[in-house]
Amino acid sequence: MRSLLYFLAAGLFEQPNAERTRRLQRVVAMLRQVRAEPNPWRPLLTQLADHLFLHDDDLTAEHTRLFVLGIPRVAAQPFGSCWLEPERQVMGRTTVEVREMMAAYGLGASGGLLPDHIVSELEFMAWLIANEEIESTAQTQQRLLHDHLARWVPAFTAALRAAEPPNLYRLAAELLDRLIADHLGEPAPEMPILFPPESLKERFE
Amino acid sequence: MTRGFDPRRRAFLSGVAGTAVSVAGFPTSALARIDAPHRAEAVKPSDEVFGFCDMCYWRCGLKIRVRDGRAVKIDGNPEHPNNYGVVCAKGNAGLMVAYDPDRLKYPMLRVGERGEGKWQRIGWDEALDRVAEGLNNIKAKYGAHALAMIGHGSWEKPYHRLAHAFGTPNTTSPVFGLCCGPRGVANMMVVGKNLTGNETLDLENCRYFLMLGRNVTESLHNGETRAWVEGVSRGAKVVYVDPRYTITASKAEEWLPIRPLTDHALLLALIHVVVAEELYDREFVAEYTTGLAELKQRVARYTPEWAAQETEIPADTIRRIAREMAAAAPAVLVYSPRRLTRTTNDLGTGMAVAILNSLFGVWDRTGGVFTPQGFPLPEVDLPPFEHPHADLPPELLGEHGQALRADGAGIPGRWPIANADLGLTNQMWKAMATQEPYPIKALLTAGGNGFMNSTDWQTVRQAIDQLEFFVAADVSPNEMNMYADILLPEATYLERYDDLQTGGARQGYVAIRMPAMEPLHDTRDAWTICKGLSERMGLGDYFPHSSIAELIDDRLRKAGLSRNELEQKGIIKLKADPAKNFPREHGGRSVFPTPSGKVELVPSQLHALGMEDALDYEPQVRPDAGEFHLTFGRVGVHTHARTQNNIWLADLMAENALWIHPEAAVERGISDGTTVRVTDRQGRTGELKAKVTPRIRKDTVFMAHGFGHFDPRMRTTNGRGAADSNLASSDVDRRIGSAAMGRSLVRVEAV
Repeated sequence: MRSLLYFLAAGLFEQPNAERTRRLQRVVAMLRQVRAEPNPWRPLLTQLADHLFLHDDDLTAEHTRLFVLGIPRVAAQPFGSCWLEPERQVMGRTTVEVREMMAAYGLGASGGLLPDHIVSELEFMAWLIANEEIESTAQTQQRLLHDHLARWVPAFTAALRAAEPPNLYRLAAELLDRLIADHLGEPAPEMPILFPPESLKERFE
Repeated sequence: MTRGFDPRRRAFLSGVAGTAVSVAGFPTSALARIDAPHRAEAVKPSDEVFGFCDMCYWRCGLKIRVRDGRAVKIDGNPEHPNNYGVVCAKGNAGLMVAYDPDRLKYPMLRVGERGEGKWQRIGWDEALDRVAEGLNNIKAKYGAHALAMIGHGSWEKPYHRLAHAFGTPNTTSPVFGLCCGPRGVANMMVVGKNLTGNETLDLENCRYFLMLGRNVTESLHNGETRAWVEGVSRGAKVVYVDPRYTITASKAEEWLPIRPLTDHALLLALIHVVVAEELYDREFVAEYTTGLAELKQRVARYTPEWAAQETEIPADTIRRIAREMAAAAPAVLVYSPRRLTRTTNDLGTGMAVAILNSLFGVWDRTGGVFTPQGFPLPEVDLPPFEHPHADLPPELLGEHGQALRADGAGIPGRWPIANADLGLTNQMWKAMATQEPYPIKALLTAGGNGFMNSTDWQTVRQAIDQLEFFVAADVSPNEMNMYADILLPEATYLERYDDLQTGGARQGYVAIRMPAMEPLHDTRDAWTICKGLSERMGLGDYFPHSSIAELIDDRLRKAGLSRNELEQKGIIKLKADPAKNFPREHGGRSVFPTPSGKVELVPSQLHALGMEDALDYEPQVRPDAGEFHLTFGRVGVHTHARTQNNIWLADLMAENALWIHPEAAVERGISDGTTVRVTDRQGRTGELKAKVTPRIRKDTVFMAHGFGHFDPRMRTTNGRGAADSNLASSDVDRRIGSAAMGRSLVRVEAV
């Protein structure tokens, strides 16, 4: 179930389109049918199902504003390196680390997304969990969780919430936070935002 | 050896061709198998690739170090004559252009109001389809000439080709009308050579530099600065003429704080002395020039005493400089301003520079101006452009019924001596804003920023308001492309092949730009974008190659070379031959491709055009009491208005300041660091901090160019400093039509 939840989370941060929405609707439906009782995810999944609309032109513009090209700024940069490295650029050491983790399994990022893009990392985590029989995937899971996702996702979701996003992204942020806390076995540690992109300007004050 | 970008691992970053994997039966979007074939050209798996820089317009040769599929360090290519291995701060900081998380990543469709910044990501096919349809609609409705194309960068070439194939004459680049144009026109008239771009000056061996605001240590080009420093270290005298004491001035023996906009007066007086005292190179003048007698007559009234009144440089100093230069000739250079768009008679100033250099016989002599060797590299074979018959009044049509340029460049009765290939960007913005002489309804931009590199935000806004369709191709967001209807994200110069760089230096050369890594996100190179558009508009014959790499191969093949050969060192140079650079030092003759075949001290083209009065002095504006001349210029760590948001360069200089003399500051209650408001006669304003310094004249203020960005997306630089572009004058050179930006007069007050 955790694998599919990560896969769902990844899909929620993808560029919205009808095909994606149909896929996510099916994923949510599958997750809601999981028989574990109590299923602690069910209320959130129900809310998500209510917000997955096939035609939502505003959502695409909101996705752009929040993650791609926003005014006055991208609300929540979706790249790990932007949160974990002092220069807050893309293609940093973070990117290479995730890329190397992926490459160990013959995998890489595609579709115009960098390896440490939120979608790439979440899909990779979903794949790692789904393939636990493959050697070392458990260790890689822990590395990806502790060295990457758990270190920057809380800041990312906080920035996302602060940008007053549509409900779908508010729910996506909640799903992501809970997912990581659950995976860690405890709430994500209270981590300061290491290098919030908004503070960049202060370097030059 | 570390491994660079290996095409076999291409998919690990964007890997568009990567095979999707699945989770619970669902295909992944981002995660893919990486053993998939890749889409673009193979790049040699090496730890370094070669290129040429795009951070300024000198185009230094680069050697880019690559690790783990990332460009990690930019060095200079030691073989490249533009820089011989040196890279400046700007060149180093190119990495931060590529890795800027705010850069344009995907094709975007505007979904809100124009300029609102509301976008929707679309795929490349949809983007190109929409652009092709939009442009074709404009053509059907208004004619092909209703499209303007403005490009600014080393990769603008395919866009010019696309626009001409489309059928519009209205392509332009700011390099002419807003920068070097008048200098090129003046040189062409006097000596038949352009002498802009990478100037062919024998700086190392020059013995006497008269530098007219040519701030080579801050308006920095590596090869030029290095050679000039070498010349100075060998004992060359430097007389530096500028209202401001720049770093270059600090290396000079003399600083002459000339009154702004009066360089032409100084030059005319120098010519007067050289002619009157017969200090010129008699042999050269006799053999290679025409017009001395007429020149003598024309400059008779421009005595040093007259010039002293205009320039505030003492007459004795002017006489002494003329004599000192004559004694050092021909190893002397009157070093022109690089940007010569300052007054209503930049043509006259530019010609006076060329004339004075000619009187000193500097052409093809050691320490003077050398003749470059070009590199014989044919362009690709293309069908001729067919500009269609336009439905316009006859006075706006050429001989084949095609529309004449809207900016008037090269057109009799308008701006006949302006370069019709590069156009007058300042006039194009006006034409778009006024819809005169005919409507321009679509704009395609390739880089650039009309707000920050032109002279009037209001004009640019009005121009954009008139557009029915605006497509911007660029790497980073900025004030101008914020208004686009469709954004096409360009790959950076570190991620792409581009057309070859050929240059005329001491040795002719051809250099290559290789991708150091694959394009990040979903960006593409200009050629690939234009090829896609051309095919959708039925213009595919103008882009016959399958890729930019194949185009490079085609050009090199014609010259008997190969890409593999060129990629070994990034550059191939012709054998050095000093006899070709300095023929008159080796028993040869100079060549001057003017109408007479000689240096024309009074250009025949001026007579033909009735523009002889350009040789005469035109007084410029003077400040009223309480006003200042506004000057602006470059600094060593930024280029134009394009680098202020680069975090490495902002770390070195994050905002500009207003240089103001201590006495003028005290009168206004301004201290160092005080925020001041600068207001021009039109009421336009800018606010920035004051730098109180005796290094500037009391009647002049200065600010570094390119700051004062107002696009909030430019997080590092937004709101920092003031924009000279919205304070500079929109006057024009009366004969060329180029901008006369120096004519702005401003008031300054503490805020």
